Formats: sequence, structure tokens, C-alpha cells
Amino acid sequence: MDGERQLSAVPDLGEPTGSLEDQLRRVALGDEDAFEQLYRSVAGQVLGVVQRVLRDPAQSEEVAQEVLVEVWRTASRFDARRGSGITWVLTMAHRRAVDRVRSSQAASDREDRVGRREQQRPYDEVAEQVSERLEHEAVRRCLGGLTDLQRESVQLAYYGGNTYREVAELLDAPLGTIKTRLRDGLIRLRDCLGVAA
Amino acid sequence: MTHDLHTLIGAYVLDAISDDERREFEEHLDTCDACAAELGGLLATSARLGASSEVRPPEALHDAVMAEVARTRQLPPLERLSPEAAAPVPVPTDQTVGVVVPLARRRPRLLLAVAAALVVLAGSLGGALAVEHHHAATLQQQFEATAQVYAAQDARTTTVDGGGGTLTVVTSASLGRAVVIPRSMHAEPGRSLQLWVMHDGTFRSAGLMSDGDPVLATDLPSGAQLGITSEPEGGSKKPTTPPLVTVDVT
Repeated sequence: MDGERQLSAVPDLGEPTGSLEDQLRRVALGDEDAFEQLYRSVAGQVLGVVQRVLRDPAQSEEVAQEVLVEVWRTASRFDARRGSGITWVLTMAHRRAVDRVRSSQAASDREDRVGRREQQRPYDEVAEQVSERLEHEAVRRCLGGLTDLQRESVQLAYYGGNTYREVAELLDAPLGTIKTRLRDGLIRLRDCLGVAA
Repeated sequence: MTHDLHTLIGAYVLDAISDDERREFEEHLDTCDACAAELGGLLATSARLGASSEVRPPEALHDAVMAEVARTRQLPPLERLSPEAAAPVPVPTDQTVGVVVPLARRRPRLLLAVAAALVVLAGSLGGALAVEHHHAATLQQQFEATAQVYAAQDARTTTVDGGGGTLTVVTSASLGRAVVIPRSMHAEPGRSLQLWVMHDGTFRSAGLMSDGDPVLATDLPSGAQLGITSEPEGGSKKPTTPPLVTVDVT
């Protein structure tokens, strides 16, 4: 009986479903074809995140490459019960980009990066397919729904790769205020974007 | 102070804190249910900020990534039970060591099970130091899944020589799982030892092996064999060399 129940779980490995979570499960088994599919689904977003933070195209590609290989290397550690695949991948991408910004290697070009708020976009934005444009628009609209201080704080932190201390300095606001604005700004974004709490 | 730390969740999610503060906050997360509940939604929200920045990656990136992937070894898989798979056999961990077994002939197996469970626990703890705290739950699950095999009524231990060392396999046919522990088995430089589930002429990877580390193989069909092959570093999709050692498991 038990044996049969276990047997029924076997197809789990090979189901040809295309979600990122399924791709990650197959990548964890060493499936390079699955990784190729995964690359096609996430590489543009990974590079996009990294490049928003780092701006330099060559450095961005280098870090994006590190992140994507890291996804391959650590796919067995992805846990779908903790969050979606794209959240896992992009959290890793943002963290790596920020680490690069803060590494001593990058310290020299830090000074002139900190002050700039508008970002150059060396790569073409892909926002041409409808779903991508809708996503882009949704985020823009929801950012627009924040207070000025919430929006500037969140953008300087996430897109600018600044610490909340740097954000406080840039916006000439008390540390405690910035900490609070980052949190309530994110909560408002979460609710506006319809992300499950 | 606690309130202060909780507020830091926004900066934490946006990677807008120093490494020291990150560590402090992650320690705080372990004791703050409210933070943990909020964390998932806020991480998903910050990922949406990132997803909306999508660009078209140059083809050179694709080629560079695929080339590096081809020569990059993957982290050994931890046991990854789906909640449904984990649910049906809730064996309390106590049972592994605390069950009263009056029959003398069960003793040796029980002692072996205790010893093996300690080996696995040591392995899990060693690994836990190297991974972030939020993997602890996965490790705990792996440990419990392994303990289930040892505690199963039909647990059977086999030891075989091969590959320059010995392989100890504890199998439960009813659970369809086996714990495989290699001893003194080492891959040649530039190669990896890979464990396969072999059945009816098909092969399924059960992960890479490193000496002394138990690996859990799941979903074993009746009549399956386990085999270990030497593969290029990082493993292969299909075995490329004859097995160094095989074991009948069910």
C-alpha cells in the first residue's frame, strides 16, 4: 500500500509544466535544458535589476552572469513554500548588485553615483510585449501612489543601491523617518500591486 | 529596540542596510513572528520593482552563462519534500531513539539506526553553519525524512564494497526511500561521484555524493537499484561511465 502511494509520487520529477518553480526543480536535478528555459524566462529581469543598480553595462553583465550561474549552483536550495521562483532569483540579483556597489572595488566610483537619482538605461527596455508593459505600468502607477518621501526613499534604496543611512543623508531626513518610510512605502506598494501579504 | 528592529524590515528587504545590521536583523527574524509573516510579501514586492526593469540581454551573456554552467558543480541537493509528501508519515523524531523495543533481535538495528541518525544529524549541523538561517527548516525536514527511514519497520541495512571504499545503504521499501552513506569513496580530480536510481533500464540522478555525507534517495520504485558512477565534475544528466558499485534496494 505504502509502496503504491510512493510510486504515485514519481511523476513529480518529469512533469512538463513550464512554471519557473518547475524549471528550478528540474535545474536542481542537473537538467541543463531546464536551465536554458529558465535563462530565457529570467535573464532579462536579472540584468535589468543589476543594471538599474550598477549602471555600468560591462559590470552589470558580469554580475548578472554571476547571479545566473548562482541560480544554477544553488537551485537545490530553492524552497517554493517560502516564495515564488522569480522573487528568489531577483532577490539574489539585487543583493549581488548591491554587494558589488559596496565592495571596495566599486568604492572609487561611489561618490558620483550616490547623488544621481535619474538612471541612464544603456540597454533597450523590453517593455514592448503587452504583459511586460502592463507590469511596468503597474509598478509606475503604484510608485506614483506613494508619498514623495516614501517614493524617493524606496527608489534611492532599491534602484540606487543606497543604504537607508545614505538615503537619509540624501533626503536630509532623520534616520528613523527613512526606516519607517521604507517599510510603509513597501507595504503600500504591496497592497497596490496586489501582492499577497 | 524590538520595535526599532521590526521597522528595519523595509531597509532589510531593499538591501539598504549594512552587513552587521543584516545579521542582527536575521537573528531578530527568528524570534519575531510578525516580521516573518510580513517578510514574504515585502520580498515579493521588491522583486516586482526589479521585474519591471526588464531589459533585453545580449546574446553574449547567454553564451557566457551557459559555458560557465557547463563547468560549474551544483550544490548537493537537500531533501526537498513537498508538503503533501511530507504529511502522510508523521513519525516523531523521538521514535528514532526513544521507542521501547523488547525484542533482542531488533537491538542491533536500533543501535545502528541511532548511530546512523547521529551521523546524519552531525552532517546536517555541519551544513547548517554554511547556509543561511532560513534553510534550517529544510535541513530539519531532511533530518526528519532521514529519521523516518531509520525508524521504518522494514528498515534494512546493506553494506557493499566498491569504488575504493564502502557504501552503506539503509532502505525502507514501504517508504520507497533509502539513505546512502559513502565511506572512503573519493572522486578523481575533476570528477564527481553521482548517485543514480536505476529501474527498468532508466536512470534518474539522486544527486552528487561527497565522502561521509548521507544522501537521501526518494521515490524508489519496487525493484530499483542504486548505483554510483564517476562523472565529469558537477555531474551528468545520464551516467557516462559504468557503475563503480550497485545495490539492490527494494
